[in-house]
Amino acid sequence: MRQIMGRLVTLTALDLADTLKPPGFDIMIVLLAALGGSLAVIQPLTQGYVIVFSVLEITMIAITIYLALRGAAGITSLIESGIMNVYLSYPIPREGIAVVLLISRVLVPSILLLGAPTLVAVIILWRNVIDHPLEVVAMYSSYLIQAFFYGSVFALISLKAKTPGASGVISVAFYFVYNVAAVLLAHIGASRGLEELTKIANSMILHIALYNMYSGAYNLDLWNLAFVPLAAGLTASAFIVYFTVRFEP
Amino acid sequence: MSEGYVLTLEDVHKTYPGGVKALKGVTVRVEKGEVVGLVGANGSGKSTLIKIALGILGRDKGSVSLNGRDPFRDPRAREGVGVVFERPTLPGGLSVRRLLENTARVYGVPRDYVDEAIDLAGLRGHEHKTFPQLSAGLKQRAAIAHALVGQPEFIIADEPTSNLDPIERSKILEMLARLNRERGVTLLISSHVIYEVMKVATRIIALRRGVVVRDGPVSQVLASNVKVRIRAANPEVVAKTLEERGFETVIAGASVYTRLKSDRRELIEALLEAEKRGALVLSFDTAEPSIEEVISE
Repeated sequence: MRQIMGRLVTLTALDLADTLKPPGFDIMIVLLAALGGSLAVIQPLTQGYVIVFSVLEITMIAITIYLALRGAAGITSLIESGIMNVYLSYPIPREGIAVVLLISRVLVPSILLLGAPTLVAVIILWRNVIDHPLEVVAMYSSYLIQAFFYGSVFALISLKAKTPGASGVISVAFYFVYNVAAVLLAHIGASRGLEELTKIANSMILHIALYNMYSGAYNLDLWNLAFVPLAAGLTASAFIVYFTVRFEP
Repeated sequence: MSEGYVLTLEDVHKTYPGGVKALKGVTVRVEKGEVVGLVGANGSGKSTLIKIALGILGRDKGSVSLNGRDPFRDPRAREGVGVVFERPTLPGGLSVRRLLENTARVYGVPRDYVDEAIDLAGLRGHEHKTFPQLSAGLKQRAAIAHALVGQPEFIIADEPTSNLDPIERSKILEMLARLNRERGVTLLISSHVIYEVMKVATRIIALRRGVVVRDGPVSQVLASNVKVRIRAANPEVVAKTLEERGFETVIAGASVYTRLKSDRRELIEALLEAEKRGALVLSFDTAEPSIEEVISE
């Protein structure tokens, strides 16, 4: 077990070197950090959750597209180039390789890309967030879980896509369809006075649900907050199971 | 697993999505210490067989045992197995040296083996470059170093000499043969160029459209396929004498073409008989068969 863990850590480091290799990731992280700083200066907000929301709401679009085009499409590139065969030829369990891919292609890029602008904003506005650090952590985590959900769906798409381009396009399309659906449901719910529909729409985007909870806009049930984490867990599990049982490069 | 076999595939079938039947009941066994040449034209199923042997692809039917385990389900089957893939591709984010150090860690061997693998593969001086920065020949060598770094007891090489010039091809094959001779490393080498595999293999397995059509020692597989050209002053007499002894012949100008049977003495005796009948044999030479000729019967 210890030996397998060691091998998985090594493979994660190996794959991360590919995922995070410059140019691309380094430029992206600098740009997002600068964007975070700019937004924090332009809108010197006072509440922790609002600060994180105002910074990450815009950067989330860029991050998600990055996850689709570089992270998940990178999995299709691994398959297309033959590097996946190399990974699968190591004495490492398939489910372990699937977890490595989720970590290096989805989780770590999400942590860093969301973390950079948040960190810059928190440093600039530290006097305003110092009393409510949990709000910052909770909002950041909600974006992270949302990004992980998208990334897991993209990763699943990448296993079936024929080319990295197709993988990226289908993933971005999913992202927009999902978000448009959430917005439409929210508008229909608001215009017809159907609060439950609005709650469903809000629960599809975890950070919106959390923002509404903090702002007191809606009385949310537990399932409203649990929807995206559950969906992320299910999608990641589906990716691991499919990769282990059915995937053939 | 049968005793002494590092790899066995029993009645393996594989159909790709879309209905392409890549393997149709293939049975292959590789003994410890053997050098097996897996030959076949492009699309014959060689790469599919190798990927199934490694557990990279599943199979529809049949059983596979690598080091006594099912490689699709048990990753321990791939312990001590080095692999060179057809298109040499390795992760490009790190220098080759760093990549090999990580690979050594994956296989649980000391870093010292990295230098040894670099030297064995002839990669010295280029190990600080990343994989995409290497030339085609050096990429192949890097892929071989990658296969060697885990101190393998069994190397599976899918077209290890593709994209190389003739001199590089010979060097790579000689290096693999040396590993077998000096360290007893078992080798399974696939190629669509049969004369290359013949240089190192002790046994040939020939695939045609997903079916094993030949499996035996190199001499046995090639014996019935060696072409012979006999130049003679009166080729009709030579051809008639050969045909009387069961050889199929074709006359082309002053030459008679036939195929060598398993015992080449028969041919020599037939030529002596032809000379007794007044034929003047000027010369005869042999040519190794092409892959198409080996798999044609």
